[in-house]
Amino acid sequence: MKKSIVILIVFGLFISCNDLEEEVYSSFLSSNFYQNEAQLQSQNLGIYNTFKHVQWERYNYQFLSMPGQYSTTRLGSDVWWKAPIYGIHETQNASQLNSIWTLAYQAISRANTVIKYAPTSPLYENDLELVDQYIAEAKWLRAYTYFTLVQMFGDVPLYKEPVETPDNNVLYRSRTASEEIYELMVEDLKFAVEKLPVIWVNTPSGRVTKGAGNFLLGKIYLTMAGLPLQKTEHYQDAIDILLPIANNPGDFNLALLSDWKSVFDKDNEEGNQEIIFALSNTYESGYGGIMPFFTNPLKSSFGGGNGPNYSWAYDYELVNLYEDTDVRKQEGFTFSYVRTNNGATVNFNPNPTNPNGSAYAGRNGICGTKYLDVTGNGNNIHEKDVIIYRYVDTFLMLAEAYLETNNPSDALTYLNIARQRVNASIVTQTDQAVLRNIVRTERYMELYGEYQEVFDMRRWGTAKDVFLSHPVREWRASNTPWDDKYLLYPLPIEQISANPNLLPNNPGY
Amino acid sequence: MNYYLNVKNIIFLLFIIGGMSVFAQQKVTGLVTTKKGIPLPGVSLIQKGTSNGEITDFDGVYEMTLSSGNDIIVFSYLGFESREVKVGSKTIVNISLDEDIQSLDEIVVVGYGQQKRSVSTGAISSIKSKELEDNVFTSISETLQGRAAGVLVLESSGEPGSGLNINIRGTNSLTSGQPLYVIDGIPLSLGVQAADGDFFDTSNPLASLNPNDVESIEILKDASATAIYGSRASNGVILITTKSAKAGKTKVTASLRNTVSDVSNQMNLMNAAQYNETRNYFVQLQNPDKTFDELLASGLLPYDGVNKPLPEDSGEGTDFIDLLYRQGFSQNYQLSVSGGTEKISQLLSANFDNTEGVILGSKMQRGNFRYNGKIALNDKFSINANLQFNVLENKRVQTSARTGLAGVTFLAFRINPNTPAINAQGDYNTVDENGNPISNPIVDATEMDSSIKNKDVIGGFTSVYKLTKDLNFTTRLGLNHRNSENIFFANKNTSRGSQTNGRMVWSTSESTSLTTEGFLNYKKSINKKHELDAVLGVAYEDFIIKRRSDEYTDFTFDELGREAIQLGQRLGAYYNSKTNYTIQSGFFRLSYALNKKYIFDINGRADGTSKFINGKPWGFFPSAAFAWNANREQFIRELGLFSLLKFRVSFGETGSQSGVGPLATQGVYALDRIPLGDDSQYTATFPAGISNPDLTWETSTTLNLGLDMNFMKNRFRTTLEWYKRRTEDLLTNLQIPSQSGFRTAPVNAGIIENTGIEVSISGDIIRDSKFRWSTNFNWTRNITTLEEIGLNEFLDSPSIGTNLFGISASRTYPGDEIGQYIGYNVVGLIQPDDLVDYQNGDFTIRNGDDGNPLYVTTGNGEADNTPGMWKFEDVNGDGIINIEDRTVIGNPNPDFFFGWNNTFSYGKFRLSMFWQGSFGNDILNINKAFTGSGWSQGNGTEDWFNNRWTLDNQHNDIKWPSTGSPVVTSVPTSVLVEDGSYARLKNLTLRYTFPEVKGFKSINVFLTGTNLVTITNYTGQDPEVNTARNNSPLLRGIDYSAYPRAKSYTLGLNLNF
Repeated sequence: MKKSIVILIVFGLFISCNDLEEEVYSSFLSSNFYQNEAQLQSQNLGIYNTFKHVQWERYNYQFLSMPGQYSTTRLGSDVWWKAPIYGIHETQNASQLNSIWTLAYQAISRANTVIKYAPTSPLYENDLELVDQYIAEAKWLRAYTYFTLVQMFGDVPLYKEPVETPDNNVLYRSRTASEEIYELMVEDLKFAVEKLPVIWVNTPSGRVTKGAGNFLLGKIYLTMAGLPLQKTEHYQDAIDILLPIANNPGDFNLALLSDWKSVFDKDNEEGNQEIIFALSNTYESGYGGIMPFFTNPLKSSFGGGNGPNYSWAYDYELVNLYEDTDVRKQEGFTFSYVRTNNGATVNFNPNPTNPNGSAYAGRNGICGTKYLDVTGNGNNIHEKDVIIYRYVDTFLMLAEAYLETNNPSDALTYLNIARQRVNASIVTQTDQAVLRNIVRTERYMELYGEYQEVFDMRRWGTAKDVFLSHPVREWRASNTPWDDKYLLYPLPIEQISANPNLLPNNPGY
Repeated sequence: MNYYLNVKNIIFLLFIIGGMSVFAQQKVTGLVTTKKGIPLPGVSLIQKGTSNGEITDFDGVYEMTLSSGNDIIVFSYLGFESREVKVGSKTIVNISLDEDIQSLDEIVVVGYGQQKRSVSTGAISSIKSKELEDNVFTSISETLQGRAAGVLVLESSGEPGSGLNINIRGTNSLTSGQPLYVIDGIPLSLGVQAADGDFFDTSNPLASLNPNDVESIEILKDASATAIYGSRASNGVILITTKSAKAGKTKVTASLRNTVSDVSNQMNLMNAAQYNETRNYFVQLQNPDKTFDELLASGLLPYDGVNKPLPEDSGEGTDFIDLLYRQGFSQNYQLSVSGGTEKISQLLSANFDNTEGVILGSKMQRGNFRYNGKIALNDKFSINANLQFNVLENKRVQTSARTGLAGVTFLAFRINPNTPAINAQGDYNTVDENGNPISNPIVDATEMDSSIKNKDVIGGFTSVYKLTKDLNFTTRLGLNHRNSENIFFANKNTSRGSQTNGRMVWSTSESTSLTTEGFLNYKKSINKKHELDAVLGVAYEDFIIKRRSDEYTDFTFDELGREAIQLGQRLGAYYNSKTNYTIQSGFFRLSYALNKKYIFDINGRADGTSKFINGKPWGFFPSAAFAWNANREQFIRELGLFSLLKFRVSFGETGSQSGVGPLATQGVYALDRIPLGDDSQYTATFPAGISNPDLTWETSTTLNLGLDMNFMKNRFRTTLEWYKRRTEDLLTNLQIPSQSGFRTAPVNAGIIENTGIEVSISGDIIRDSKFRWSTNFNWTRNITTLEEIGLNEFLDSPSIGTNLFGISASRTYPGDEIGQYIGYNVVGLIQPDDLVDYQNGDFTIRNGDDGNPLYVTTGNGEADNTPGMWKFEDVNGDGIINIEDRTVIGNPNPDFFFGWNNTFSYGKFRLSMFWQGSFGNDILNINKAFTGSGWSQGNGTEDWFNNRWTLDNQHNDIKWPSTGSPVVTSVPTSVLVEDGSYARLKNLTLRYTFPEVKGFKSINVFLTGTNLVTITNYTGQDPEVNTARNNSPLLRGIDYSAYPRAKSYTLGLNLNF
């Protein structure tokens, strides 16, 4: 009996000695994670990490470049063909819109976390300048993300602080007027312009630097000056902020590369001074890009794996826009390639009779050369980075801003810097309306397939014209009429469904 | 066919049998009958004071070898008075038993002890091994199906080892709602499985266990029964007791079983000519102003005789479904040996099961080894050790859609039948008619190698010390360890491997849970008037879960498959993680019976969990119950009607902590990587999620009213239960708007209420003759209602799929039954007359008399207005169809479900028949989005081809549209909802026993048919389907490319030595 009681007591002690504790093994506690620069850096890279997945680059292309004037696709069978006229269905492919929305807010949340907690670092007192660099980088990324959201969806919910506990008033926030969100972007970027370093010393290129601050702030001013806000006073702000990087690129570690095609060379990503901001990819599943797969001809060597899908190409009319001397005409398109499976040479045929769905011909479109990755080996694991902002755009933006402020001669100066590089003729036209058309066409010729088209046409108010003459619509759905609701994308149905406070949806949806 | 009842197995059996020696001691034989002289089979005999036991055979004959000691045999049989007979030197003892209404007092296993049924207050269903022996089970989960009232077993599909949902009395939780399984006193830590990223549905956590080892299963349903397991008992408790060693002469049982199976209901799809005709016809419908020849010339027709053949020249094409399905085959070998003395007795059990499924490439193998030893050190101290080692290898074929378009059954439904199965080189074809890469279901089934391998060790060590005559002290150490490995290899031909030159994902997990318990049991009977039963104890559980996963791609050679990762040139997606949590508990039970008439019971448990370490970790879950054995009252006795009349009432609380994982109360940063300009990778960190420092236990409060009534000397037995359970502070990772940066947040929010009625009736309808019939019926109605969901207006389910149907399928508003489907309500088909001038290509919708368009669309112009397409109900009347027009289109919850078992015996023949069914539940048949409308150029059924709307066959039957509207891509419609009611003959077994075969105690052979008859109106492959994602209780009854359930025939042989 006594023995047993001893056993019982020992047993009871054994149980009670095991305290309720929770060990943390495979993650860091957020309460003390900003101790040194390496930790600050990993938190900032966490923001970039949002865009690593193929969804961001792929769906943004579909929503931002596919509706462009000359974009086309061979696929009638695939839902992708509807991409140029997205916005028609609020229920169609909303999951892609939802992916963009979800990833954007993930990036914003991560940026907000850094902006809130970096000041808690012990470094904040000792090396304020250093910590400010990281805060500036987070603010730049937050501004980029809001800028994308606002241009796509108009008014969206505004979060300036991370959501850390489930508070319904915060979780179910309604939309904020885009003007207010633009104010935050401008504020963030003013900070970024001041605090971002010209280069990051601890990591290779691929992160945004001081010049990116000027560039994006200029772009945002230009956009605010255009539709729908039409705050035209910002044309001058755009000029003011862009001129330093246009005139003194060396101070910002920026440059126009003399060899146009090399800008897009997969092996010229590290230290490429023309890249302002790109989505970084590497050859690993989950961390690789997908654009080479979608944008190159079938069974060509340009997209690895089984060969590319030849989903997204350009109407031959685009090629016809260039002068013969223009290097972009010669180097920007795949006129001919060798099939990897049978060695046959395939030449693009602009005027076929009755092409089938996979022929490299006619309305199926000619492929561009901006997303080549011959070593890529899987559909979605390409090393090719996706350039979102490119330095040359600085000159095109300046041309536009000068033109809209009635200064055609300065507009021509900067337009011609971009044209000279590719051996295009010098433009001398000074009539505003004519020149405006030239500047806009030049933007397409230079930046096609680089995620600018929809934002450009919305800013300019040309979306309806582009829609009505879009080659894919003419071919596939010629009777579909324009509707003003296409000026904005609908909020993703999943989001409205999850948060009715987002209603009403954009006009017309 | 790979038929192998292989030599190795036979030799193994013979070795065991031959190795046995039989000791001749005092042998007694005899016949046991009723007073009327009718033989009683299944009477149990125990040599008094020992655990030496026997059972009478079909003719009531027994043979028993007495061990040394007492020479008294106790004969006992349900419904009869027990009798003790002194053997003396006799070798033949024939006896008869009196029927007795008081003797119906089976022992039931309850938490931390056993009770007589008569003094138990809880709602407990028992399943005994005897009820199961006539059935063919491949998993323990199947033994629960239809056998007990209130237990709803939902298997995802017919896949061997397929995913599983067991709901006891409805859904009490928003996450999984799975019960707590306790095997021989040790809680099973289930569901930790190596990551299976390429599968949509999970696999069955009980699949590793050997169903032949089950002695009994008790299902604890109300608070009185479960509160002692407080912390994890909200969804009920399933106590599994395995067969244990018995003293006595060595007994050997061997059984062999072979099964063949076939897909019972195969889809009949269009052939190539039919398919091509529909493709061309749709273009014609959209271009009424052009003639067929004009369309041909314009290149608009896909099958125009130029690039592709005209429909009439297309022939049959390929029937992929026919190629994909095959005859399944399985074998099972079971061997058990037991025996020993009163001091030491042992049992060994071994089982091997091999199942080749009805889809090419699908194969599951399971091996079980179990040891039970009992050692009595002295009169006071005894030890019981249970050790089992289970190995499961399941080579799965991806069926249920992973991304919405993958999965071999789905591919086989959808694939263009013009695609040849084999290409010109004689290989499986991987390109379509245009030369574009496609996913060939036959390639994916045969060349993707996906194997889950689990190795489980479940060990329990229990010692009981008799402190006094009435007081026992029990200590228990339990170990539950699983090594799980999931290796997925897709070679270069497969859809998953072609993109990356071969792809391999190697995931492992290791989970260990350690349980220590100590408790005192006090049982005291005073003057046979007062009976006291008390338990007091403490417990501690510790769980450690480790996971790891790597992905290898870019294989130089892929022939060696999974056996040579060094051929993979790239490593990616690598991670590992380790988490743990602990639970500390104290528990008690106090039960008092007065004159066996009035029984009072209180019990409870206090639990602390580390999961809420920053919140409120401790919870206390008490219950109280009262039962009244009214049949012991004189005035009831005098009625002469009841042999048992018992009223029970219980009320109490239980809890759950399973809704969230560890670290939910702490803010932590997750780890990942990001490449920069130089393409090397850099560490990236970011918040892992929203944390909630206020988290605490989810609590269920249950009121249970029970009534047990037996009639005619217990010949007819009924139990009625009514219950109401309210679960508050629902613990869940609630879906939140992703504008927060996250998709979910851990919260305590919401209330669910379950109300139900359970009826069990069993009876020995014909007995006391050579022909006997006994029946057993149970019926359950349960309603699960969402009462509130925090501040949210409604509760959405997770999305059904990812690419397609990336939208939640159910939405529940407070006050409604949980998990109802929402989608567009289809109200008719567009007719040519609905359009302004269809003939001339004007697709504008005509206005009705009220000046508004006749019907409303999504605003997609002509693509929405093709005749024969669906018209939707504009629920909110705003003139456009969008998600705001989704409305309730179906309810997956059954009105009731039932199980009905019948056993007929005549002499040495026995026939058992088990029916099971469910009524009033809807199925959301996602497959039909393609196969019932040809949407997105998927193939469709031949029925659709024959009945679909055409200009020559104009009608308004929404089941047969001309084609699916694009809106079906992401929003379910009412056409996809079908009545899923069914009744199914799950099991039909005919058994014959050879009583006297030299060298054997008995031999019996049986023939079993499984799923032989199904009565249903469901048009899909199988109404027993539940391919939802994440095991979510909010997504029930979804048929998304399920693995079809087979109809099978089994021939079996049982040998007893």
